Amino acid sequence: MDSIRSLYNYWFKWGSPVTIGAFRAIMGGLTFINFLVIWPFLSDWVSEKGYLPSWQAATFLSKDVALNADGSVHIPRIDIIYGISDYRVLQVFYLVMVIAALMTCLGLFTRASSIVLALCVVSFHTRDSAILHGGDTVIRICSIYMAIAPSGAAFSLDRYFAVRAGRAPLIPPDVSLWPQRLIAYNCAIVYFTTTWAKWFGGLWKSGAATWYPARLHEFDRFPVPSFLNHFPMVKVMTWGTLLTEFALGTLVWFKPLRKWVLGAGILMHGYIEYSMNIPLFAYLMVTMYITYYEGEEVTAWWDRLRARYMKKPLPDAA
Amino acid sequence: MAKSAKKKKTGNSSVKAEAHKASASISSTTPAATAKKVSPFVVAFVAFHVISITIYSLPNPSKPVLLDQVQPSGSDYFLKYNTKVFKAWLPISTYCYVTGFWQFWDMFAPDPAQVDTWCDAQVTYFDGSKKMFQYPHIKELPIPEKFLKERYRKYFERVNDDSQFFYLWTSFGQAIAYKMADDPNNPPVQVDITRHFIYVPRHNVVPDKDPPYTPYTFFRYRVDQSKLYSLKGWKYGLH
Repeated sequence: MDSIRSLYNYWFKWGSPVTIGAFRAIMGGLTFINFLVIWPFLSDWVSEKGYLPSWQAATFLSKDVALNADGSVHIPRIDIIYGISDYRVLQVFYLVMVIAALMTCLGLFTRASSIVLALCVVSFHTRDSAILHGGDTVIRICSIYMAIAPSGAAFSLDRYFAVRAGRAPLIPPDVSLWPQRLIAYNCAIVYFTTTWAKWFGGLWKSGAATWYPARLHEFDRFPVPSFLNHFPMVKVMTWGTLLTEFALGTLVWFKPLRKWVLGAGILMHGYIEYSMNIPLFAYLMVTMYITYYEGEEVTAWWDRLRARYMKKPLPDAA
Repeated sequence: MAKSAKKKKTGNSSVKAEAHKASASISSTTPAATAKKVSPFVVAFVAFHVISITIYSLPNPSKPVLLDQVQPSGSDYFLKYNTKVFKAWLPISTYCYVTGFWQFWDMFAPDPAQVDTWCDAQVTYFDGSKKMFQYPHIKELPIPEKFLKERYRKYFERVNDDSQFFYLWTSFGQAIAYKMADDPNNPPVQVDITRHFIYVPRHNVVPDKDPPYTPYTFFRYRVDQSKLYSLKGWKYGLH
């Protein structure tokens, strides 16, 4: 009974919104960059002249979900650009999405802008699923989490203006933390399920898996010392990856190990980011890590950092 | 010197003490904060969401297991049941698809790809002349451009999957024809799309140097002229 109560308290307690605010600012910024990167090539991905005209995009993901087995009732996916083939309209849609991402990053009209962003991202992904990679999935699910969370309650222009106008207290009031917990849980699910999927692969078990991606030249980015791509380092990196991903899906919840597990995750993603061309994926995943920390912890960490490097006294000492 | 070192040490310990104070205040969250009631609807939603995304994200067992061609072993039993029963349960799949929470995490799983591939196409014009179309070949691009054009690699990864995504080939061919068309009197009439591939050398049989890429034309597309003329804004007949 006690464990159920503590589980309930963990998921539904109230606390500082600093974590969710910081998460929103960084994730919103990365989402903004992600869509800026696609913009110069938008015509290729959404126009009738490109690789994915509207009729073709519709076949990639079925547009409806059948509620009855016989297909008699259909529930449409969220797709506000469904059937639109006019490129000018799609450009306006895309512009709205980019602006919503920027406003979400800045925390300006946060609730409205994050809802618009989530609607646009889900629609764009439904339309253009054929070009999505793992980082896009992170962006999509996090945009929905940001829309349902009180993500403008800290680190936002909304709050800055409210404090200046005397409409909000200097210390942000507590918020319900379940949306933050959902993000942390989803992050753990990413690693847990990918570890499980890799367990079916003979190359991962034998320790040879990382030999292969390092030789897929379409992923080449910066060169790495050759000994890292040869045995026995290949085995160390293969099993190290499995172990790290498993820990990120399980041991990360054990507080004494949390920082070590997340540190290993940052190292792993840092190496992948350096050596392989998988744009933004590492940054997006590592941004999710912040949600394992309470707002009070983030604030204390920031105060310590300022005290150490910016010569600012700690709040209590001031 | 010693004084300054001592001061520094004192400063550090003061910082650590503050940090401990802060983390202590975290673990002992105020009763008022934890006691705030959350609507039972929210609790139900969170529980449903957690169950849904967990079920949806779990890997599928291998195809032979799923098709009853091979006897499952170990976790296959559970994953097969999950795929056939839980994942197929409409409230869960509908929830994930409709809201945008669909997700599947198979980065380099179950095994990483072992074939390195890129593509180009030969475009044949009405007068019989031929030109090559170079689809972005990420390996050859400078690093900033690699970052910008990664989507092209991902798209071709899908196009290159003969078993699942062959239906993308016609629009791929048509788009290439559109890009290569500049004269209404001599439009592209045929696009031959070629994949260039090498099998990554096995880790236990390493050759001195990588073998050359093997070209294979996997799709010949007869260009839809009415679509081409319409998208180009051309009129039929001699110009």
